[in-house]
Amino acid sequence: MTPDPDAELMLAVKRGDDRSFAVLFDRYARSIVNFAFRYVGDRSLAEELAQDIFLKVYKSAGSWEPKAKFRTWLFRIASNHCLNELRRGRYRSDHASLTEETDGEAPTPLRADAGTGPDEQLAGRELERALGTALAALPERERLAFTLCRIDGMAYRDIAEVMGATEAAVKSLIHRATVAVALRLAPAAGEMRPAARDS
Amino acid sequence: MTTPTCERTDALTAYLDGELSADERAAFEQHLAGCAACGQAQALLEPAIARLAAAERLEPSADLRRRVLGALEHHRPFSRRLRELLTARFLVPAGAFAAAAAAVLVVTTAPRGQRTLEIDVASNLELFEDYDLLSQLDVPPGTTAEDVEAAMRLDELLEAR
Repeated sequence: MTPDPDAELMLAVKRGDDRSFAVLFDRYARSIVNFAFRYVGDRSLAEELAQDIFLKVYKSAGSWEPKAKFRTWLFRIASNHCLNELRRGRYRSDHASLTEETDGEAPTPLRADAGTGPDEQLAGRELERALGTALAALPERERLAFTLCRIDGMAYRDIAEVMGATEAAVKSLIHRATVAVALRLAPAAGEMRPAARDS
Repeated sequence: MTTPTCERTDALTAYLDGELSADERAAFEQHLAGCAACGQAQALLEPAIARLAAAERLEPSADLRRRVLGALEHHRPFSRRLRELLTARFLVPAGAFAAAAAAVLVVTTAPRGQRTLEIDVASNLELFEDYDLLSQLDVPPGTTAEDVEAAMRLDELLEAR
């Protein structure tokens, strides 16, 4: 088994080393913010959730044991927190576009990976809109599996660990969610709807 | 329009994600070559997966980093806060007292003084052992934020005295 590079850092946090926590924060902040964004569709709310998640991790450092990968443990905390907050009604799952303005304010320059030309920006906006609409319509577990896979680039095995599910179940969840999102991204392809989605 | 169907379409996404074993992959590729339904689904899914992989990501703000790291002070685990409290309130003064007592008694070197030194050293050792035991404590299950807050109030009570 490959040693978890984050385990030593987390053990140091457990011993009281806050600098190691800062390293872990820098390593995972982007993933967690983007993960949270797919739940609340708003940059500032996503950062609020990310803040709660990291502070939960910090507070739980004393009870952390390097049995599971740090990353899967972190995302388990993140998914539980996002789902709980949504269920409590503190946040609204509206999945606004990354590139749309919020409350009349200009978009904050937080973007990365975006194309520079107008065509690319337009394509990016369309993709975000379609993705947001598709995610909002997905069942909770499909959305979670999809987000971990497509947004955070996690392997099926790790997603299964985060979700407490079998790899077979994750495979099925990701397939259904990907088909649903793909149909949104290519409306003209609706007639090519794969039969598996109907089952 | 009639949509062709195939019971193996479920494996297509895992295939495109590189999540099939070598044997599964070879078998699926063979199937894919002759299946219209899976071919059609592939034409839908493959470009979508590529577009999603290239979708933009947010960069966390510097303010988030500042907020999280700045809040650590107020979110220390219970065992750590207790340890810090004890270190500040008891260990440092106890250590200083022990050192002072030892210095005085070494100078006098009287038999009675020797006994006093032994008693002082023994009591300080006990204090250190108690502290060591406390430092091993973790947050007990069911510990609430109020419990932690109450423990932290000890600090204020000591100051009030």
